[in-house]
Amino acid sequence: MEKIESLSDEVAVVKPWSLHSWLLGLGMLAPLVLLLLVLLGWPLGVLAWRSLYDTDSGISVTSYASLLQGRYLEAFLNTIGIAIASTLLALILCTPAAIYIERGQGRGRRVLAVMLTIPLSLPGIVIGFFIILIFGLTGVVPQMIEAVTGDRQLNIAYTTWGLLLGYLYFQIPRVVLVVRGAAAGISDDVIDVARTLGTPTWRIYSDIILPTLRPALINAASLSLATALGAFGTAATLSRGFRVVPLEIAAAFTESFQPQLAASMSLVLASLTTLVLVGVRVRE
Amino acid sequence: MTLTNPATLQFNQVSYQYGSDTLAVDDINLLIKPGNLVVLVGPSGCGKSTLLKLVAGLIQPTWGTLLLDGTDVASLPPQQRQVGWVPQSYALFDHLSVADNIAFGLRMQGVSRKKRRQRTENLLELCHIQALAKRAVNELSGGQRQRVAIARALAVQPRVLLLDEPLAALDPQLRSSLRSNLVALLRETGVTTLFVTHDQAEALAIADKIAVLQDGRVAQYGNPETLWNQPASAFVARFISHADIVEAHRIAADRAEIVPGLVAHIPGDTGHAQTITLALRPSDLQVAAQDDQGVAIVALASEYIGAAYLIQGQIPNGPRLSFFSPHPIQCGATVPLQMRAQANIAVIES
Amino acid sequence: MPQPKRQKVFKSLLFQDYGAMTRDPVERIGQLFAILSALICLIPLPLLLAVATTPVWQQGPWSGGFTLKWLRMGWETVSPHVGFSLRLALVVLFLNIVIGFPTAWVLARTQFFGRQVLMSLTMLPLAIPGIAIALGLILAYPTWKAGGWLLLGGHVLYTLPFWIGTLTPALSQVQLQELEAVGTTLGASRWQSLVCITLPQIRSALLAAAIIVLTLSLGEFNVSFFLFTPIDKTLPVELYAAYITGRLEVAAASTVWFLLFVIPAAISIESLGGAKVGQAS
Repeated sequence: MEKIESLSDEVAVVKPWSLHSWLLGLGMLAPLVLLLLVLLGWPLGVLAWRSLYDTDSGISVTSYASLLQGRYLEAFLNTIGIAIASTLLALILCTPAAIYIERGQGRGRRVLAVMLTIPLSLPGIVIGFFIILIFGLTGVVPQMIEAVTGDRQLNIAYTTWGLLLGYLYFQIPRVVLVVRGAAAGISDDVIDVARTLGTPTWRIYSDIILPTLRPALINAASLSLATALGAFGTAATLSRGFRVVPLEIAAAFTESFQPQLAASMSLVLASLTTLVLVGVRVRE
Repeated sequence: MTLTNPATLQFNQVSYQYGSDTLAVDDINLLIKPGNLVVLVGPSGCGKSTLLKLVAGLIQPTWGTLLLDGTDVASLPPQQRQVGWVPQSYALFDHLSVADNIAFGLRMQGVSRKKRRQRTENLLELCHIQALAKRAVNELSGGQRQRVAIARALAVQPRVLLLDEPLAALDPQLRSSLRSNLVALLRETGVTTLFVTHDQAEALAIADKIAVLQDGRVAQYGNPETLWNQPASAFVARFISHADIVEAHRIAADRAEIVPGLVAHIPGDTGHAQTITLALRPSDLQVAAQDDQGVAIVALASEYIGAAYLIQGQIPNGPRLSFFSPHPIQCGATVPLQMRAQANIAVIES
Repeated sequence: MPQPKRQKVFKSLLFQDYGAMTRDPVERIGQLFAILSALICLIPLPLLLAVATTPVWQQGPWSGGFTLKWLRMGWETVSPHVGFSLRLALVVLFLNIVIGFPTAWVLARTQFFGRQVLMSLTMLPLAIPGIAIALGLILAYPTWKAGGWLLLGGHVLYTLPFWIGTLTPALSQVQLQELEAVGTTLGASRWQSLVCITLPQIRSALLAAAIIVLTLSLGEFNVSFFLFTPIDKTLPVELYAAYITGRLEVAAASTVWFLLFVIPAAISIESLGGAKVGQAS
């Protein structure tokens, strides 16, 4: 009871607004607001303008129209497809793993937790290079197969499968961390009470654990979807045949110098990722 | 160097509002003499902790003045008030050792290293924690943490010491012995102390004066005996002495009948109203020796409290009353109940 | 093939207590998947070392003995850019402190209209792919690219959410605010309370946030790819060039050097209470 009182008293510590503290707060926020305006707001505005305007033809939506067909439509479908596939894979692999790390027994769990966060600080290009080392033409897996069968197989680094593995690699820590946070919050008492009430293990999962984890799973899915949609480094290292949108943006800008096309693709991609991330927030 | 700097503390119509319409503290008037130990007691959410924060200067009163030795400090920031505040959690700095915690205030005020060490040693000794000086804060027990927190507050020679539930975080077994140690320490230093608790027994045990708070207001302010014997309201009577509040009919200037057969002696100077309100404490009643004495009461619940049984009963067509019985009484059994001869019944003014 | 043997030793070191293993099937699958995922995460590291120390990888690991030649060449590739990358990361950290600390403070300590909106805005850079914002920056400020100003801006934009996201919860702890309140009653001024109470109390969050910012900046590629200049090339951009055009062994050796900066940081972040997860890859 007393705890509740001291909590409600904390509200009282917040000082009433005076002009002085108001100005101070504004001054402390000003650098951030300025930064966001200069480095985010204005560039996005310019991006929007340049996606519509061209010095030769004036204002038009031709660049957007060209996204609806051929090479660029395919790139968008590729990107969305691989993002969904790798996200599903990561969820299937990492949800039980995260539950085990937070709720299971065994001494290795702490070490496992640290190992699973390593990819978080690796840039996408390094992840791509890892795939090359394992599944590249001289990768360790094809070499091993050659040593056994005499035939070099499974050099899939530069195919869709290699890209999928690379995406999975950087999604593992993201899904694990988000799900771990929620799994740690499940009270042992609740599970134990359910057990004493005679609940079978599968019902404990279907009726208690999964519903509790649901928001975290949705969060994890949206985060890894958004990350996969925007991933550039891994794709740049691995993709030779399989084109994803970030690669097309880079190519449109640097190789064929079509800033209008690059800008429109960037905007559509940014809207997609923002939608995926913000959509989840709004649902909550 | 004196240990403390006891001051007179006076609340003048102090109110504190938060949000747009919640009065946490409502028109408080209190005068606290130098060196007094005043206990603020009341149920959760009655504004006790808020009152301490007002004195500490962590929040400013919305209305009213707060006088320290006659000077209004309501607008002074906490740094300039010289008030020692010990929150319920003790809020020790766990990045500092015990000695550095105690010396913290002196360091902030730019006291020289030599003087700081001197004073810290004095306080470690005063609080009997010399052996802990070099320890890290998170190696301490609850009682030791409390000592460090109080030593830290005393180090700056506070004019008023504010203790927010200093015993609440301790084991019940330790609480009473640590309580007497704490009171002895406060007496030794002679500091003016505001002590917040929700435990009325604690308040009665240690206070020079008690202020009972109810919904941000002072329900009664006085010494413990006054609160026990002359509660100003039904709330105070219930809270301080666990009394039952009953209606009674005056049959003489100094006698009132609660139900036929149960008559209370009351002070004679309580006016002439026919219907009056009485506070009956369990200790005012007793089980009569013979069945035909007093009034029949049906026992509803019984609690063994060590020396006796605390019985809750219902008088048929009358009030519910609690009383002590030296013998167990079965629930549902009927026993005769009467006033104790020396009972000193309080009349609640309406 | 020494690889499988090594894993076995590693595994038995970590998971000796199979006997005490839970009977819960999901947790058993979870253990399997966790080990599997951890192996996926770890296998590339020894492999990388093997490639970097083998004379000719195509002929199999250490087929022609052990060599440090590639590591030496890798260092020659990487070292000219280490200085620039580190300097950039430090300036990025400095700007995070100057801009992000006051922001985190205000977000943690005050209630005001639009606070939620501002919170979301600080996280917005994470929602937008780096390549898109890099393109926006270069189209908006074509003349700033020289001198590395855009590179700096892009890095600050992408690290700031992590910095603010790590510090805001640390600063809003009720216990910390109570400690500061005690400090003021003991006579500490605002500045003294910041230096003597707040900063020491949030030191692990500060350290974690600083390491996150430094690691992210060192490893940033998506934004840097458009914004680097031939003089101001960051490590990952140089690594990318090595992956695309260089010899596999040299590329591996360069990566080894790069990871020497990054992996210890990653482990210390986790031991300091973990990173806030966001989008950056």
